[in-house]
Amino acid sequence: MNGMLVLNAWSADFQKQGRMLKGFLSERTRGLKITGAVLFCGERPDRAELLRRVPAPAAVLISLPDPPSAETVVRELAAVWRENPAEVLLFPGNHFGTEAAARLGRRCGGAALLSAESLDCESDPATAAKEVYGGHMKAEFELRKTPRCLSVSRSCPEEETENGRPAELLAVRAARENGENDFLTDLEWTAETGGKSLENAPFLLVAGRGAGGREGIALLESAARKFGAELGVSRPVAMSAWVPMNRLIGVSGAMAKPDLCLAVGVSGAPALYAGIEKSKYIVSINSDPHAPIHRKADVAVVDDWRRVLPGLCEKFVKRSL
Amino acid sequence: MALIQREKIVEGLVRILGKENVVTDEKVLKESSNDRYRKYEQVCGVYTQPIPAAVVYVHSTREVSDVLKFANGYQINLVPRTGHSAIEGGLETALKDSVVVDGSRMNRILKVDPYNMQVTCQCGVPLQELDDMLREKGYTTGHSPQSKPLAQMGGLVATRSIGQFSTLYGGIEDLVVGLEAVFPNGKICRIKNVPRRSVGPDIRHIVIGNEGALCFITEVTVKIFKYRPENNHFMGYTLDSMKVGFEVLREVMVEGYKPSIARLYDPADASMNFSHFAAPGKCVMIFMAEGPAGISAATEAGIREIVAKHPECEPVDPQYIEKWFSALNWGPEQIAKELEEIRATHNIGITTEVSGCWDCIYKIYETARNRIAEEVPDITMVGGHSSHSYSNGTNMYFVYYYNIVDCPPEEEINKYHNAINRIICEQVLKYGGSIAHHHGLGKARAHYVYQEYGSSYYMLDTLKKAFDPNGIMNMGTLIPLRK
Amino acid sequence: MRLLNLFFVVPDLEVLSERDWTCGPDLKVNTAFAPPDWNGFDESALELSLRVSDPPEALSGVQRCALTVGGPSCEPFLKTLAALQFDELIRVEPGDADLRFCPEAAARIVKAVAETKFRPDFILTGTREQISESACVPQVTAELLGWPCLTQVMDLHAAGRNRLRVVCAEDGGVSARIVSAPCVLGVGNAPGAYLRVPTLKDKIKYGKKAVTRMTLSDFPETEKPLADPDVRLRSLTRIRKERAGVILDAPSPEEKAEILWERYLEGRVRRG
Repeated sequence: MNGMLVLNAWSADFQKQGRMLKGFLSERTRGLKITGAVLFCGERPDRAELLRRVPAPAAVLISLPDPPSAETVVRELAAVWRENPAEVLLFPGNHFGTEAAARLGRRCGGAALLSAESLDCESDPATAAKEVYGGHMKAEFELRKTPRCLSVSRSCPEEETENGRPAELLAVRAARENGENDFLTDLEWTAETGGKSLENAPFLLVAGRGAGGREGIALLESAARKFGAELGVSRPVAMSAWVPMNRLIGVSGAMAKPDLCLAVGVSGAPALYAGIEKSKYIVSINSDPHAPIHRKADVAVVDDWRRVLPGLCEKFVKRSL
Repeated sequence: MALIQREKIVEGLVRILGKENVVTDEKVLKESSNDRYRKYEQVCGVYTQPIPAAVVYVHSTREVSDVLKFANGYQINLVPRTGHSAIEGGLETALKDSVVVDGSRMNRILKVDPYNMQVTCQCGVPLQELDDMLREKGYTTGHSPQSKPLAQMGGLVATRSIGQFSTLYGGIEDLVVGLEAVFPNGKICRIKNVPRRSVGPDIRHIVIGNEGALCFITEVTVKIFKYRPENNHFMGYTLDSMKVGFEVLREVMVEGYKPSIARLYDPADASMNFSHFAAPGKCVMIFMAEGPAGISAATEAGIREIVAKHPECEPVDPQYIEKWFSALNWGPEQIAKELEEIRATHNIGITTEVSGCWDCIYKIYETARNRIAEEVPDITMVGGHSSHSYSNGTNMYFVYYYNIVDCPPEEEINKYHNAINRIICEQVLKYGGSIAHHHGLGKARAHYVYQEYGSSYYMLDTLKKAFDPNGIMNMGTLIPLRK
Repeated sequence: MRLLNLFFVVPDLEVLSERDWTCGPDLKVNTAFAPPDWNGFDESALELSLRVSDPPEALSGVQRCALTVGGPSCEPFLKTLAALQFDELIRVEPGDADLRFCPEAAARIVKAVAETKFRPDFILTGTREQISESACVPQVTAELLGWPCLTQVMDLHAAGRNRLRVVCAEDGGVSARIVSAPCVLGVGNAPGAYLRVPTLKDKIKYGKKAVTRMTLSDFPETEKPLADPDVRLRSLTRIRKERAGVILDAPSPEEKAEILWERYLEGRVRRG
């Protein structure tokens, strides 16, 4: 079965998109031959750099003067697809990809599935799997219409793209908005603040409800600083706005893969655990002996984090001296 | 008021316990100045009670004795504490420069005695841990209050606590065998473990329920029972009327059945808990039978027979009841979730529980509920359930939620919580019930102690004067402070 | 301004024990015994909808419709929305139909209600639903209506009669824009957006508002996607993600910290 990749070079996570797709293709797909890719980019891109990052043999660049809205993306993709109807369209698992995959599937009369964990094009019909029921169950679906538009799960393995052969440039299409974005005005954009992102942090401290409040979070922030760790939080903590939403770990936040993860006051529900399951080593600290996180950790400390962490911090700081 | 200054208090305690066991960290002191009675203040990080001079951790009965003697000598108010799960203000440090004496590190299970069906443990043993350990061996304490994940043995005995299965196993007063307590003059008293005796008044009852106002409990021995969950039978019913529900509960008890659980929820409380099987406006009745297989089955059959005489009671699939129970207890996760919802919505839920004989309990429920709905502003829910029945009456557990509107945290307790408590207590006292079934009098309702006791107040007052003449034990609890 | 909120009531999955996570040949997990709750993202969408009338913008004359697809256990939730003065309440009874993995069915219902019954300026719903995790309903709804769509909405405020200022999470940052009607808004992680609680007096005063009860047969356009879905469930299996889970045992938390460091962490942690 043939397929096409879709990437957004406007986004700061462009390289990660390529890695996500390549990892998915290498490890989670069967029977899919990628014939090309569509890249949304600016009007004067570094083409060589872009094409190096695309895990496809060939690519079409769609250039725009400004970052494209979902409306523009879907319109352009639909046009490209109609000219060249691939059976499968694979999107990265970021906001761009999930929005576009769902809409394009509908627009072109196909099937859409978001956060796919795997894709099997050797079966008939093609099937894809994803996590459902809050991450407790794995569902396998038949994809019964073409195009099959899938966004890749952010928990899938990534693979480096820069060592592969650069994609061949097939065409550059200059796209323009055509009134589809007139419903939007007065854009204010706040870029995410720089620094080590949660997803790349080698040492992560994740705080859950057991943090106990704003002052608990402040203590954990301080502990994380002493450890040289990044602080991530569960959804309930992020929703309480004690930390910015970009600290959220889990299916609707960052998916991390640290060498070491300290899960503090975290119950271990699948939604958050998905964000740390790739950790090399997980330590749980939770006073509830029945908290599921203890079974999902390598080492479990059933106790009050407020009494465990200070000693641990001290050891860590001493070692670093 | 203490006879020495704060710094001297701390010095004295350090001499007795060592620096590492005397905490003067400001955050710890603030959090130790109250309990869940002032839930909204806790949520807002506001502390209206006097900040204690220290929180001390004791590790032995000897240390407890030394600390009490020291405090007694200088009239320092002490607040005994173990699990910190109290909800009636019992743990508030109501006097300036109080000291919280925390027994949670006295957490050893001393003896499991299956032959005599008893277990002995120090005051800081968490009940959840104790019961989990016993269950693995095929036993249980039979004591399961909702605070089980947090509560510890000393506090459970001090507050005359009761568990969800009390209708079969009894309250803590039925479960305690012997104990050890330390009195303000440092005297250590041990009461031995015997099944029953007739050698004068039952002095255990000076200790059980004293809420830290007479002594510090250091060790308890409680009965254990065989744990046979395979014999559990769950029953549930929906019905239209609380009156009928109370009648059914009464009949079950009067006929001599002892289900471990017998509960009746009014429509408001039922809709919060059971909307997945109870239509709006319906009451819900729940029973559970347990114990030896024959008795459990016969209890279920007997209850079903009684309920069947009331055709308005429609049975519910028992699996709904079983599932609901499995998620009932309040551990750290649930408490944290509750706090975050309160912060987000400024809506808070509180409970006040009372008791009364069969002939007055419905009137208490109906009139209190109506008055709260009418008189208290910003109420979003008021209802309740009965959860502990006897042959002569039952309890009523009022549940109420309100929005906190245009009200700083310091004023919330008077604008809403105390106003509601006042209505409930007025109605209870009017109809001859008791203002507290199992949460304890604490400080929250201590000002009702005179009306609650009537002429028998003399006995409580004399106990207090006898055992705590210098007024150092959790002042403000049981007997209100003089203003 | 007219706002249509689609919401779902979902079972509290955390009460299910390990043995409950199984399915029969019908590929359904039995969640009937779990108490129902708002789907979290839909709850945020409902709260954001109400905030349009809050100060400082305090837009007046806002009409709101709450639409759900579900059984009788949805009724108490609709009652709450009635007490919060939602103007119209619609429950579509699905009967035996399995809408779990068919976002198009829900989207078609929304389309029909929007085009024939309520005619909103904006449609709000949660970006994700807890059971299916389809995350498609806002986008599919927009495609069917021919409306634009914004997802991952974090916040919104009134910005005029038919306009909202909408804040969205996007790749690499956060955008805030003035959005003109019509538009479908998929609400994502919206900090602090928990549904407010109506007072008892409001429940008594407004809670008796009638709910319009409909069935799937009122929406013939759902027949095809349910009978012949684009994406059909083939199997459902339990996920178990467990590790060694070695419980560290020591008399005190301080000693546990020491053992944790010496035995498990010291070798792993990089200097500096």
